[in-house]
Amino acid sequence: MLNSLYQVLAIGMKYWFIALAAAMLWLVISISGKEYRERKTVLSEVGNYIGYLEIVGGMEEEEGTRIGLARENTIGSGHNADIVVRDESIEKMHAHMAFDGNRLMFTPLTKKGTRINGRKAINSYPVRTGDIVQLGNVVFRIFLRPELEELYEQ
Amino acid sequence: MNSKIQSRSTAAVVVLQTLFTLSAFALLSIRNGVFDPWALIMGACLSAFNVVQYYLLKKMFRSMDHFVILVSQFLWSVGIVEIYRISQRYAVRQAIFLVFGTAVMMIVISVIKSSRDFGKLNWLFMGGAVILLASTLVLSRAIGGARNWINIGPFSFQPSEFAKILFIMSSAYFLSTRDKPTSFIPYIIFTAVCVILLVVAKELGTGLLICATFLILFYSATGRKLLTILGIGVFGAGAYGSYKLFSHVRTRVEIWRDPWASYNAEGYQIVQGLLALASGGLFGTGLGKGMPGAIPASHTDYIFTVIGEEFGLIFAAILIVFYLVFIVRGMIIAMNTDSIYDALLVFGCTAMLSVQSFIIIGGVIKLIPLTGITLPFVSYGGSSLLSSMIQLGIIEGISIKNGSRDDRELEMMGQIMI
Repeated sequence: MLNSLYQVLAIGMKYWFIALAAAMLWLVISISGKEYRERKTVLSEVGNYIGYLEIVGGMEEEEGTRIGLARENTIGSGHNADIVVRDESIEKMHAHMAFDGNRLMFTPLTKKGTRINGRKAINSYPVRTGDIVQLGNVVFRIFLRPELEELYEQ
Repeated sequence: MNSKIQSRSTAAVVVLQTLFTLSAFALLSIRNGVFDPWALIMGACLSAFNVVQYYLLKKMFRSMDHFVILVSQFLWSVGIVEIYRISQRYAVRQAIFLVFGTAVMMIVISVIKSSRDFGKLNWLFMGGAVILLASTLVLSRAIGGARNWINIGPFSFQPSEFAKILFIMSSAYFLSTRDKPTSFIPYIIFTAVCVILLVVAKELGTGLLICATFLILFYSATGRKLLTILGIGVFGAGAYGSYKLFSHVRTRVEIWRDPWASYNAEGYQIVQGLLALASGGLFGTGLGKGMPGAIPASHTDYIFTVIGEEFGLIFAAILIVFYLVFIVRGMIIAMNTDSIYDALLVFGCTAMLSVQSFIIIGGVIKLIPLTGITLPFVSYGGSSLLSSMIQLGIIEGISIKNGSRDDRELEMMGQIMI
């Protein structure tokens, strides 16, 4: 009785084992592929950034949001800006931030509504970690990678 | 999009694996027409062990590579199912080695993830490898034609399995710290001594393995085409020389070219293996309905043919693809490392495991001359399983090292919008 059950099961289950192994293989390959791509995208994006802008005031629901800084960025409320901040007090193309090899230079592109550490800014000015920049009503804090920060000391 | 890396759920893979182990042991429990509760207990223990091991490692070590460990778990589960079917006593021993191996693996992971390149200790590793290999010649007893076992009390162990790992570690060190061709001389002499000792001890499989791993590592570390081709030439000359010099090498080649000529003697194992694979066909005979008893060493070197016979060629091919997944994951980890030493260490372990599976699978299907070597993770054998698990531990250790570096990077930038 048990023996004939085994004979039937053994034949039937060989397909079950193949199906299980194939399903597992497919799962492992697809999950690991997805994870690999996701990880690579995130790490390469983050690796490209030289630092970030953190919103610390002026936009309540966005407070604490960090925006990655590339080597060169324009900031404004218009579509053409690299970093788009949707706020009425900000000009369409408000400011320009670029790393010149040693320092991160902040350049206002409009005459009014820009402050660096509380003082009104009109010309290009080097900024670094901890500096507070205000565009219109929105206040940002700057963070720069420590290894770039060291260049300021030289 | 947020810059947090989410590790995807692998629970489905764990569930499928558990289903596989449980159903295979359930089938084995009624194999002889009488109900064998031990098979069920074994199956339950093995599945529980795999699940606990996986989640424990995941909890202990963040950013561990899930896929390498899941693939290894599947490989040893298939191995233990098939070993249990051949001999229950061996399966229990293999399971004990698995538990012991896990402990060793955890120690290896902890050491590797916080270590650099071991510096001058590598000279000690080199000496250790040579002593291990030489000791077999003095203290060994022959198992299956090769003098490669040492008995200590009730245990017998195979020193060459551990010499392999010392070889990878010192290779990674020398290839990552030297760049002038002349500065490789001590390392090349060391490799040659290892291979000669292995050939004299009739351990051709491991000798071949060390040669192949050396060539792969040397080329990937230095990128010197000319020297690598020269190395392949020396390897070819050495192989030809040992063919002329040693009768046991000649026999291996003869039975590879025509196993049927000596069916009743040396060629018996190869022929029986081929017959088993052929009788299994695409879908296999069904678990427990094959004839592994007819193949010598069916639970160790020849386990691939038993799997091929009972589970079928499709399943065996899937098993090979699992090895490929393991290799690809290993390469990804190697490419992701910061230091050349780490990269070579992981790549060395990956290359060695893949070459090892190629040598034995190629041997049993008569693609290359058969040399006795175990199928990593699957074959019965404490030393072999332990050595594979140490290599797995090295791969995982470096993966964790990479992961904690990436985590630091992400943590510095916080949750950034990208």
